[in-house]
Amino acid sequence: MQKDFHYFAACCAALLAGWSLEESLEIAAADQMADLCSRTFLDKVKGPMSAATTQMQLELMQARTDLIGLQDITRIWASFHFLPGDLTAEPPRKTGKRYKQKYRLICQPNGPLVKDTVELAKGKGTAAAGLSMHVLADTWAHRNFAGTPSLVINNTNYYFYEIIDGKDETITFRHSPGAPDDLEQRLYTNSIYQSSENSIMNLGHGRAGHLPDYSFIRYRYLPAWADYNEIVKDNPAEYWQAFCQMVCALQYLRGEREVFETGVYAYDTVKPWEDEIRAILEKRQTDACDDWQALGGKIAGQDIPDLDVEKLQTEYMAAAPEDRDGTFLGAFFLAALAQKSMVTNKIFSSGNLLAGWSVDFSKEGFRGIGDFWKLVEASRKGAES
Amino acid sequence: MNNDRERELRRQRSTLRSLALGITVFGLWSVLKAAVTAFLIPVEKMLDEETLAFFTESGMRYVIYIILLVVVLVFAAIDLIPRFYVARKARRESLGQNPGKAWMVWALVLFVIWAAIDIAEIIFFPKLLEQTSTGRLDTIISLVLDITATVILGELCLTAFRIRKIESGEG
Repeated sequence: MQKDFHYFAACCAALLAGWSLEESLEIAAADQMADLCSRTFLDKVKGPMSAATTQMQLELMQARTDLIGLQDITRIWASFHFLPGDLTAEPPRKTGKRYKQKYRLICQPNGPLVKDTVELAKGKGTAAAGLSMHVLADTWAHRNFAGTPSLVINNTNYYFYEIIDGKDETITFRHSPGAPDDLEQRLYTNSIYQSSENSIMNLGHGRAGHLPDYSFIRYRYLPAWADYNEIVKDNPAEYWQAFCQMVCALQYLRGEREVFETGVYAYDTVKPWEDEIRAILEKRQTDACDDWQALGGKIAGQDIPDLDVEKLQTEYMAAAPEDRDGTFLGAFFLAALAQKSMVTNKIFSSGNLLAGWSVDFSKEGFRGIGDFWKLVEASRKGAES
Repeated sequence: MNNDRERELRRQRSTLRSLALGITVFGLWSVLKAAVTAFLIPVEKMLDEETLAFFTESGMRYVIYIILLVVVLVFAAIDLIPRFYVARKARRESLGQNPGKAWMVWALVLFVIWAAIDIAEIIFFPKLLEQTSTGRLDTIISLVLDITATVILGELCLTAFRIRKIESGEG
């Protein structure tokens, strides 16, 4: 998913869930920030480095792929963009431990971790709510790929067809990072084939290009892990479900629903806007920002402004160090640390060391290390108040 | 569609595609080997003194290289054309297109010829080792690679037959 869904569509979802425009914009900003908060950004604003929610292309190119480096990559990508669907999943065939651990990191919607993610954001403000919406929405877009570099899980092959009007059309993948995708010629950019299992080229949906991020596209392909079973991905239908689930989760976070259950969607709430939303989702375009922005304007009754990262940055950097956690970015960093700590801990607790050794930093009383100490302090403050 | 038949068909087609690539790569390797043998081994080792003296004294030593080039090109044509034909048709088969049946007969014929050559090589291996002009290790490696290429071609034929069987509903 891209800015169109992570910012403008998230704003629409928050508005429909009953949040005010100001709150909805904050939720949308936090949602989009998950794609911007890299170590480069954190270094610039002097934020806690462990709060990184993404890695820029240059950072990935420089990333180490030894054990420690892979665990760092996995913590970031599995926590925020490829939330594992089932940490106890069993591969259909008997396999080795290493394969099984990677298989269990495959992202799927409606897993137990989605519920944990939304519940973790409850009562933590708009920044945490927005971040959890990013994670939730990506479980739909990025399903069937894992947030760890792995050829045996994330690779795709020549069997890749776009379904247009019910017919299979061949897709041409190229490795040309600078060139935009050509929808007319069905020329899409993907990461280059690397036979090394842990190559950074085999991270997430790199081998399938940006296809999972486009709401309009329908395609079928053979994932490396599925033993020659093809997967038909219907993005318009799945993005619709993602949107309705976001509204449902945001209603819960706002206190309108008692509990958040996976597999429950706010179809009734979204019903009045269904035709317009489905029309945007079906429209063949690489960037739907304008359409979602216009829809947000209709729902809110006023224009939806674009995300102003500079403003958030200035607010954070201008605040005194002890007041920074009270700014929007400060709250976002704390939410990111909490989410990363929770997911890493769940992966570790399941007996899987791909995200590294973990302690539950959000639990009060633990003597934290490094900049996760910030999270421990915040938890203590929360417990005292 | 994800029933057992479709899944098996995809698996066999994927295998066939890899095998077709193997046939092509081995073809390129054999031509490269022929070119290296022809041009890197000194002509003094290939020709007897009398013949060499004839070409050298008449100032036509370059003719030796022209002849070698022609020999390599003819060898390349004889060796590569059937390989590329089989590999190309197998690739089409792997994509679910219908390249006909003739290519499978040719693949089988090629397999029989290669297998016969390999058997002959094995039988005369001690002699080949004695008479080698490029070294014993080279002879051993050549034999191993030739057998590997034949196994790949055999597997390609089997896979193609399996695909046809599944497609006809027998598999």
